Amino acid sequence: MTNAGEKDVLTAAHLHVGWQGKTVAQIDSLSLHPGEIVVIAGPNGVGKSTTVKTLARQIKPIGGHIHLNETDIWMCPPRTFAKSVAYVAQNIDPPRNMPVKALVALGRNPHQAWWSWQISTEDEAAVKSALDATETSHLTEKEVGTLSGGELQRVALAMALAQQSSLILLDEPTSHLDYKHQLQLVELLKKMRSQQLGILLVLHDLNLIGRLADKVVLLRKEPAAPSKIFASGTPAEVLVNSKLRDVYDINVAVVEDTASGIKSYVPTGIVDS
Amino acid sequence: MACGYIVLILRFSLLVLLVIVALMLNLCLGAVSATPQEALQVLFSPSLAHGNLTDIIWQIRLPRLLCAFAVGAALAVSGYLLQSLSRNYLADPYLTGISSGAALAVAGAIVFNASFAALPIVALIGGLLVSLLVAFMARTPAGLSMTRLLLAGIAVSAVCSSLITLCLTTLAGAGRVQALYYWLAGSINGKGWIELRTTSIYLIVGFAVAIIMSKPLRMLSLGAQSAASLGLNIARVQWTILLTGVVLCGAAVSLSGIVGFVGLVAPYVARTVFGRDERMHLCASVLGGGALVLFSDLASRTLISGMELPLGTLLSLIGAPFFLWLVVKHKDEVEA
Repeated sequence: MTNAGEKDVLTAAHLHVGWQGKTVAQIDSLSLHPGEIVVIAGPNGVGKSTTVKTLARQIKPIGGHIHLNETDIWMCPPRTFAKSVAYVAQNIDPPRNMPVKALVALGRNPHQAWWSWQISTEDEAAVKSALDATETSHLTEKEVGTLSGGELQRVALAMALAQQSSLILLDEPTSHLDYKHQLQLVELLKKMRSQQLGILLVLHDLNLIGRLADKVVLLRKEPAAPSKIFASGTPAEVLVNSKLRDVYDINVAVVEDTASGIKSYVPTGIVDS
Repeated sequence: MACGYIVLILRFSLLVLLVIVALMLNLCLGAVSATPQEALQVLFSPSLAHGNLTDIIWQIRLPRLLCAFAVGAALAVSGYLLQSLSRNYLADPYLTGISSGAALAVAGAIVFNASFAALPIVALIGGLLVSLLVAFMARTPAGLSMTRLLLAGIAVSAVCSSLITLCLTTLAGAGRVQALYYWLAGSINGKGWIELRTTSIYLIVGFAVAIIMSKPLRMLSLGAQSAASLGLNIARVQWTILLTGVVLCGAAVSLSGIVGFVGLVAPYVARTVFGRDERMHLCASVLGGGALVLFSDLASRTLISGMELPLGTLLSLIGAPFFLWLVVKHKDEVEA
């Protein structure tokens, strides 16, 4: 599924992200290595999506640097960057009459000549593998406009998987998924991690974060200042009531299922400010 | 799947047939009529004596119908490119003001006695400046706003039209006013081999680049964000497409003046009738746009005996209601 042998590393330092010159979030240090899952979490408006977009080379940082290996990402040719880093936006808006297979096949673009329509056997295999992994093989002949939100989200992920990059950035990939597909996505991402893919994603659901993340980066809004990293570490270190209360203004009970060892995070009330 | 391809091939064959019929009718009909056999004989055996018909066909009708086809094809492809760029069916060279900008530049050049060889370049510069101005006015953080693009296009077109009228009334000599007027109303009357040769290089380059850009066009249909994440150099592709659209529009305007709505109607039909492949859309736009202008030009010179109607006026009569229908059909996009 991934580019075997690739050891791409994405690192950000002293990063200021935002829009039209206004810094929304300040990320002092962040990195993504092969074989790890990093989750960016935090309340609405804290700059999670803006951070991921900036890491994905969608918007320029206001300050600081992002490097892919030793190279500033804005010095990388777009195709070279896309071979190493895939990005799945929160919502995609392809033409409604585009068949699913044609859409997923566009994920192969970084590996093809920019003008060429030729699809190699390697491209075919990558597309098939991506469709199988996301359980969207049965949708291939359907038009995108006929898909549900959840199906479209899985197809968007399939397109990114067909890219066969070694790092993948996902912005709220579970927002339209039902419980079954959320858990399937968790398993898929874990499988990708075991194949040495580096995954960075924005997630809201603490239960999914607890099941999935190797590292959680918790952002907090600061009064009259850009958001900052409030805590960073393993889920066991970061997803604790004292820290969640400070960031989300809620109390959270952490309940561990002794049989499976899985922790559940149950909001118990809003903290009066 | 196979059935879908057969339907597409059948539709495309019908379109090719339509173009052949349009070409033959343009060749045969006029003040001096010819049968198809006579016309083909003149065309393929010009050395045989056919009297005046040889001159009429070789010196008047053939270059004129080639000009008509080229204008239609260029405007249709230009419209297709602009629609792909803005991801909206309502964009075309006329409504976005690019035609008017090119026309103003050409009108100015004619007033100052520029040679025809300079007109495509002048039209290109005029169209490019207007397209940049309109795009600047329509820009938003999320891309181009369609409402603003159309409003800016209308406003800039109005300014360009006023300046063209000013050129006509104050600067042009009396002898040039009628020629300018006819050219502005959209006409290919009197266009011959020289004009066709001058513009053909722009047209060939424009069509070739459009075909080469067909895959980036598909990538762009996903939206700039998704296309960029798949390794597309968005800025380079958008500039190339815009420039190609302006070159084609400029070449068409320098040949025919302002001919509206071809860039709206032909690409829309190509998209809705000819499947999902951008290469097919481009080929269908070339043939559809060419056929539309060929039939319109035929109508403009044969509808009223002894009098030639302006081509642009005729096409506006067809195109404007079509535009209104599109606005109603795609009201969500217009409001975006």
